[in-house]
Amino acid sequence: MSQNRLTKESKSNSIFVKNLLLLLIGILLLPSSSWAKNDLYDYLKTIGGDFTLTNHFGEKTSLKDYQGKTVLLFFGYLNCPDVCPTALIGIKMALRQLKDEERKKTQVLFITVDPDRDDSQFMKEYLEAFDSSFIGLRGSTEEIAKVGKQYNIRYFKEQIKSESEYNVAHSTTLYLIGADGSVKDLLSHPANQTYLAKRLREELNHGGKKQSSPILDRLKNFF
Amino acid sequence: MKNKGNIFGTLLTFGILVLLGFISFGCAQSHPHTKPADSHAVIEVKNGWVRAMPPVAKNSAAYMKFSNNNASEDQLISVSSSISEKAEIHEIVSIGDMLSMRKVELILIPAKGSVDLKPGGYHIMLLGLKSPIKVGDLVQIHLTFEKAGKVSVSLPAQESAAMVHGNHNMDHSNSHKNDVHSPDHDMDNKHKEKSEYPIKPMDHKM
Repeated sequence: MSQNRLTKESKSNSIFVKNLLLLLIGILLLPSSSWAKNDLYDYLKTIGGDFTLTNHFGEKTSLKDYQGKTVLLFFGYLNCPDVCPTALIGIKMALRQLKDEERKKTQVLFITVDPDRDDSQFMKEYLEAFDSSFIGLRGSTEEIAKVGKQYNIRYFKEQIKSESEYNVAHSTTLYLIGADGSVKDLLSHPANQTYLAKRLREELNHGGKKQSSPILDRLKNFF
Repeated sequence: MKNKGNIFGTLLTFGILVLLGFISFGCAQSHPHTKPADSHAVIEVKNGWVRAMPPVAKNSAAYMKFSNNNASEDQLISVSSSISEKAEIHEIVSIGDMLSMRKVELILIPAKGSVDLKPGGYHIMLLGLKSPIKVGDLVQIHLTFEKAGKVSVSLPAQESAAMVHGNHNMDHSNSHKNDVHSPDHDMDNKHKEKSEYPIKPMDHKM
């Protein structure tokens, strides 16, 4: 009887091992399969592009003015006490991990989705407190909406108590834009500082040509 | 049932033992612990900090961890601070790729459990700052719990969570769900995702 049980067990064990092996092979093949790579890069080709808004010094500024630099683009609003400061601090800390010459080739742009309350002076003083190199951009509701559509971000006013008291729910994706002005990668909030610094360095040093599998990178980032 | 097929007496003894087991288990369930009186209910507040903000900022947020060592749940029901016009309990929730912030009436702290207020989750929103919050400042926050009553804490102002949570292995800036630790597994499902919930071991049926 006990022998019978043993063979039964070893049989079910071998089936288990076989299934496990198949699963492992599947997982190993996954990141190298074409869909994993193409999905994100195909999507990135459909978003982004040049735009013109007003910077926090009151000057017209276009994305193409930063051609040759790697740009980090974030959409948010200044009355936000949690998400936006967390994102800005994260970016600041990531930039600290870069060499001086790498930092000089990096530009952080913050587009307000709340132009009614975030005027130029408010943006200037707010962003400079994080890092004097950060640039805030604003425009009319329509201009912001146009850029939002280009980058496929969504936002809306909520919890409206009065004309000046409300929150803004907004997309929190951080856009990594290459020296040519095209979107190279998306980082979800809150971006891991070390990973962000690594992606910036890759973009700065390889010009985005070294495109390893983003899925694999994300997995590495996890472990 | 390994005893199947054995003599009647053994089966009977086994049956009685099982029955006794059930009875004592039932008793234990109905009297889990000597329940402390409400006057002894204490909520421990740890790892608190307030977000230092640019001087022009109108709002800020306070974060902390509540631990409830009592056998009954408690609730954070109101908050206040003299640093701002208003203080409210807020929560960040995701709507697709958007993050949205809303006011909540209370935070439930499970019996023998804890709740983390941290970036991307629950926070105490300080609306309309009366004076700027700079790194190193101490900010007083007054908390009222349903059972534990009023508690005042003095929290240091800092740029991010990293400074107080230095002893944790986890990168706190990278986790944005509320961590509700509770022995009760039926807690709000949305809080389970990415939280530090113990993973229930699989039933090994051989």
